[in-house]
Amino acid sequence: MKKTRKRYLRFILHKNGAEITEKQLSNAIWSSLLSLYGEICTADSKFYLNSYDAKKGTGILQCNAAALEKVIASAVMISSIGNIHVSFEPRKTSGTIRGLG
Amino acid sequence: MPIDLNVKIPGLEKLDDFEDMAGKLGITGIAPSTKLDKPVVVSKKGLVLYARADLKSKRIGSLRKELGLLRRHAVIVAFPLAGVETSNWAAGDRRVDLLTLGENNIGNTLKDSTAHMAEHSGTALEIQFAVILRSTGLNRSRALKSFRESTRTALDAGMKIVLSSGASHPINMRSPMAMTYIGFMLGMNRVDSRETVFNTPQWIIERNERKLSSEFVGPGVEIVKRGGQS
Repeated sequence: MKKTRKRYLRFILHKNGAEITEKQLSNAIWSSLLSLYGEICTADSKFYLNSYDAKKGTGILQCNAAALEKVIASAVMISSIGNIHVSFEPRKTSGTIRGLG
Repeated sequence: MPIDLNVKIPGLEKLDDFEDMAGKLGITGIAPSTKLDKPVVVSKKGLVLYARADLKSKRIGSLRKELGLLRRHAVIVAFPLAGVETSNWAAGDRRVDLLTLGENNIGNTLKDSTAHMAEHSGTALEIQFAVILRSTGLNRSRALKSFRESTRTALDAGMKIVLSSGASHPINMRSPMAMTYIGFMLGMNRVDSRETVFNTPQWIIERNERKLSSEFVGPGVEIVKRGGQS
């Protein structure tokens, strides 16, 4: 099986309420991706939340290179997680975690 | 210089929250629909506020009058896409900067003829994405259909596009980079998407600031030197 290329994204999650857990954020991105682009794209995206600091709201996610734009668009479209309103800000994309700086 | 050309600040007392959020997101200017004292105001925190006026009349005669009254007081004049007749009038009038597509006129789409007229007069299509952040399911699908169709029509006609938040709460604003990804979702490529977020709003603001200056006489005619000056 051909190995797919990965992409990493450094992001900030702005919120106007309590902390959002890694699990909550991951589920919200999965749901948004599923709702916007469907099951096949969601399955092929290989989305994974590498790290997330719930206090600062910063984190790194990874996905398939071909699905990067769709994953980021889906995350940007999230307006609330639970009762907390959020604004997802993509900061930098790279082919390696080290490249994110 | 990323500028959000449509922010619906409920009142000037809420301005601080919007300023803070704009600062966090790297937005340097906003055009609130709230009335401002001057066309351009720089806030204490360094955010530039541009006066924006949305035309509300339904008929061409009253629209002309309204436009005449508002044009000298606002940096941005927008008209919400409506029927073909009024949309074509707005698209052909150089004083109108934006043809707006947002939550109040989601059923409307941009017509080919309107897009070509707008391209000639330098009027841009404004897409307010707050509605797709707020809605879900079939309602969001309808909004996306309208936005994607209009985006395609505008791009085919060479008409400029502006992406703005239409946010009535600071958390509904998005960073410039986030907005470019919304552009991809609406069917733009990387170049077009960056253009709609980073260059077109700036271009419209600069053009209108020139028009509002006392040296401007008409398109292509400006006072470069007054009599008695060396």
